[in-house]
Amino acid sequence: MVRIHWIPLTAFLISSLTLPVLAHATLGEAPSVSSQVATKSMKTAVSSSQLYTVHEAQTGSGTVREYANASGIVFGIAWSGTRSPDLKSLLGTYAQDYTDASKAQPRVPGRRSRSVQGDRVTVQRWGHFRNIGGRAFDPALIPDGVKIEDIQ
Amino acid sequence: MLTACGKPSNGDDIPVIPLPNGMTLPTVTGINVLTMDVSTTSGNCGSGTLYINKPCVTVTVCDTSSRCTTINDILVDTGSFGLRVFKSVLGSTTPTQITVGGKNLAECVEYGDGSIQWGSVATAQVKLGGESAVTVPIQVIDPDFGDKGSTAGCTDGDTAPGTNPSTDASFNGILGVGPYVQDCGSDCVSNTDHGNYFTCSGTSCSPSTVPLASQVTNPVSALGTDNNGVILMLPNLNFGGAVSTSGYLVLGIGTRSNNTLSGVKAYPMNPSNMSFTTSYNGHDYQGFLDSGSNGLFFPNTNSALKNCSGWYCPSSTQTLSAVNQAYNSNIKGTIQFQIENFNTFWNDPNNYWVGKETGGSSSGLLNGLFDWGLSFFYGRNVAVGIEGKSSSLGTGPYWAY
Repeated sequence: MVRIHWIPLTAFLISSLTLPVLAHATLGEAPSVSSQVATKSMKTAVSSSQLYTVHEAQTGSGTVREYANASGIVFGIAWSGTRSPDLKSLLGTYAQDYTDASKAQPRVPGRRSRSVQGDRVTVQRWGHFRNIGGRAFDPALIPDGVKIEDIQ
Repeated sequence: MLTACGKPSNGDDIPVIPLPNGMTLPTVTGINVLTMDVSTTSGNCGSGTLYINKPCVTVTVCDTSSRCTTINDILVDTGSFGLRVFKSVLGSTTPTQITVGGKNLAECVEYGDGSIQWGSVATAQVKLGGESAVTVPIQVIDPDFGDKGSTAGCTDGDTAPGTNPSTDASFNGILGVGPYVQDCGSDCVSNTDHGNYFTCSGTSCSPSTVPLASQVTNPVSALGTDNNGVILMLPNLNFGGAVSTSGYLVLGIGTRSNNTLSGVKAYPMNPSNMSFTTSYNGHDYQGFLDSGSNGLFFPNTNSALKNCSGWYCPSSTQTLSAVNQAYNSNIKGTIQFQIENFNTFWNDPNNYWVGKETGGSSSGLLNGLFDWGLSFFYGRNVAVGIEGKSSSLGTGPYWAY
């Protein structure tokens, strides 16, 4: 038998939009404190360091946090809950980059995680039923001294 | 080296052997026993799905007109809850569509790898092994059902069983035998926008609440006697791998002589996120036992564990250990495990598809999760206790091994 070693033969398109949430937290843009659809509650600057500010929103599917740098630009977004949030909305101008990268990097079966690196954005997803999480970030916008793991 | 156990078959309802399992399992029989193959070429897995460490059973699904279809290649998954089968493998069997508020119920589920399954939620009569059928909501995976919740992002779900694991589901269905009764639970009773459930008017589907009784339900929890959980029994493997292996999915824990475990320790889990604490290399992680994961996946804090396409490929086999500790308890135990060079496994001329020493890095991923996939299950009897159900091992949710 000839075996393949996870070489993608055709594209697998990951879900790129899920819940209608959080128009305020868009990667690469300034966070807006005006919460919009499907946001149950929102806290501004739930935690911050000299390097970044965190805004957090509770949605029906869990929690979404946006990480903004000193200029107020969102460089990373993290989520956790029962489903991923609406990534198309969260990723904003990065959404197409993610979609394209997803097509080029099909999933590996039997995993509970997946990392997709686009030209401008990296999207990492993980978890299992009832406990889904992930993060998205633009490496070019991450302030010096901030680790990717800080986006959580 | 490990030695063969090789106990002979001795008929119905024989006691389960103590840990650890040997290279050969005893024959276990009874109405509550399903043969569980780990294979890509034969038995309950069917043939042709190129998928490492994939445990499969066969189940029968019937409708109210007694039209039944027996379906193989059903992935046994302790990390999800409830039965999901592709509509295309149901033949003439037509489970009864569930309605909520007069509208057809649909569901979108998401796995950790980002894969999506969309389809209707319908009541079916599910037969597991020789047990009487149970009537439970299942998901009928169907990319053509409704509009796939088009505004809510399930448009890119699995479309067919298929055989290419890079692009297809690579199974006919999933039997979620994890520790919960429903796949979503109370969150979906009260929240419209949890993202799992939708109701459809015509083809237009929108987010909805759904009562517990209408949620996709772990069919084991609905059994008459053997409803408190399952035991996965797999034999040990020779170091390096195997072409295939076979064991059992045993229904019920301590409800019969053939599912009464000895020599195992129960680890209650955090009921809110299905985890216990796994301490590895100086860090604490949320650990979980997941037969639907096909290796050991954990953050790489050991420089010897090189990464090759997502799998670990150390230059020499690494013997490692971790400590699992029950939730809110001092119950703990050390697990020794080995990680071999994945390329050695993969390039073995025997065409291995089953391996105990397979693992991969989740550095930067899993955000603090330690995924004990199927590699963990070889040579063990692993029990999964369902929430709220009791056995001699305790009240679920718990794992025991």
